[in-house]
Amino acid sequence: MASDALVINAITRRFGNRLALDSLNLAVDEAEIYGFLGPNGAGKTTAIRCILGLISPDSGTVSIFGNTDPVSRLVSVGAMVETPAFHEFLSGRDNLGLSAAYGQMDPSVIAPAMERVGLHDRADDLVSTYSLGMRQRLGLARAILGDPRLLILDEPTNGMDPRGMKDVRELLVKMAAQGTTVFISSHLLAEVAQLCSRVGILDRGVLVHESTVDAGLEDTYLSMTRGGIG
Amino acid sequence: MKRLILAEMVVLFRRPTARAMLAVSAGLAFVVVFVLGGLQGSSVQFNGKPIPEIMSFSGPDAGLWALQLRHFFVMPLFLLTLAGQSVAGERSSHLMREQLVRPVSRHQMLLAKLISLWLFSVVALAVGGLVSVGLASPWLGVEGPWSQWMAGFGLSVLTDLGVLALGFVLSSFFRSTAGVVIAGLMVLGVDWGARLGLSALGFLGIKSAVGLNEFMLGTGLNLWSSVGPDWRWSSLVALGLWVAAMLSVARFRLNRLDVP
Repeated sequence: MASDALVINAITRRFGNRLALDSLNLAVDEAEIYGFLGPNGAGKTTAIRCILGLISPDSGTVSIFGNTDPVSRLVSVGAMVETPAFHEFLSGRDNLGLSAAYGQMDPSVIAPAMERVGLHDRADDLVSTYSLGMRQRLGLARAILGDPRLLILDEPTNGMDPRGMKDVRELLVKMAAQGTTVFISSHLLAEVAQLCSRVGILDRGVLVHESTVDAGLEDTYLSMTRGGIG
Repeated sequence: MKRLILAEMVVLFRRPTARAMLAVSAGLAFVVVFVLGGLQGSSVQFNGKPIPEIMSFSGPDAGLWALQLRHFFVMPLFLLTLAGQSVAGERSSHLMREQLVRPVSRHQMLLAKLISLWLFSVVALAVGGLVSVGLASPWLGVEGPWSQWMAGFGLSVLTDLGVLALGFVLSSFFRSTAGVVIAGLMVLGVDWGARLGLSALGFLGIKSAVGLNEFMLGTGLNLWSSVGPDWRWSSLVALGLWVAAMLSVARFRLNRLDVP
């Protein structure tokens, strides 16, 4: 489908005897904000790693804007997977410079990205001096470098204060309004409810539910996922 | 690719281990020059002869001694550490993940890291060479084995590539820098022992042992010191084969590894 930004077609992935993803099918439309929900260990990060080519699925395909090649499909993608990692001995700006080089982007894209996440005044400080929330912002700046068409975010507000979380929500809504597709993985229902137009709920590697966001999201989530305690 | 290499060079020049390597390269050269300078005028005897009679002292001699010291343990240790940090360390600390979420193949990433590390090792080599020869020549004199020093200096570039290839292949098997360094030193140690054994067998008249010895990893890595009448092309071929094999294995494994 031409309007699909991201299509996951029956991907399955095992780690030893454990089935992490079981024939996962999913499609995300262009310019929508899609919430990827699920409890810890449901397979959300595994799915994201498959999308980004960090691990290969045992079977199935991933297509981004119609491209299935594991390397070239990432041309218009920005991503932040789990806790972002940085070279501690480099400044925020230099870390983004490295990422821009790997993304074949002009260094001029760095300053606007730093500005958008509110880190422009700390851009030349070493990352080792950044707080957890600032690292998360820097990770987000790295993901939005060069205004990607598809933004894949795995728990983007981890470690952020309420102000930071609100800023991120506003940034993502603004980017979606400008045409960016956002695929956001989270287990924070309130965050997803405020941000996303559609959600998919993953449980033990299986997509158990997919719908537009409504008032009954929490009930749906609790009924569709299995608890791990007790 | 050029931009990737430059970006990796920026990372390397800020990496504390790499900065230490540059400082040690210069420091070793200083030590060699001052030790040689001290020995030149000394009355210390070895086997009943004054040291100035059994050793030659000049700028290129100091350069050769500095190379000797460089390749003995210190630089292999630094090169293995840097290779381990750049590949195994970055993989386990998720930095490799941040690079591979960009439209870059693992092969390109590996090549950019290898070339930047190799260029950096050439810079470190040049620093050591300039300091040793630059300080020693006005002090100890310029008459000496320049061609031997230049050949050794040039071939050291290939030796460094060999050590880096070893670091890269080990990085595709180990998850930590420490693992790469320890395994690398063990490989070099086992290779040294095997070459010693082969030499002993060669001394006993077993010719095939001599032939095999020429194709050992350590023989290739010692290429830089084999300039002169003992020069054998087989050592250069051996190093080339080892580098090609190690990098092929590293590439094969890294293409298939899960990146956490």
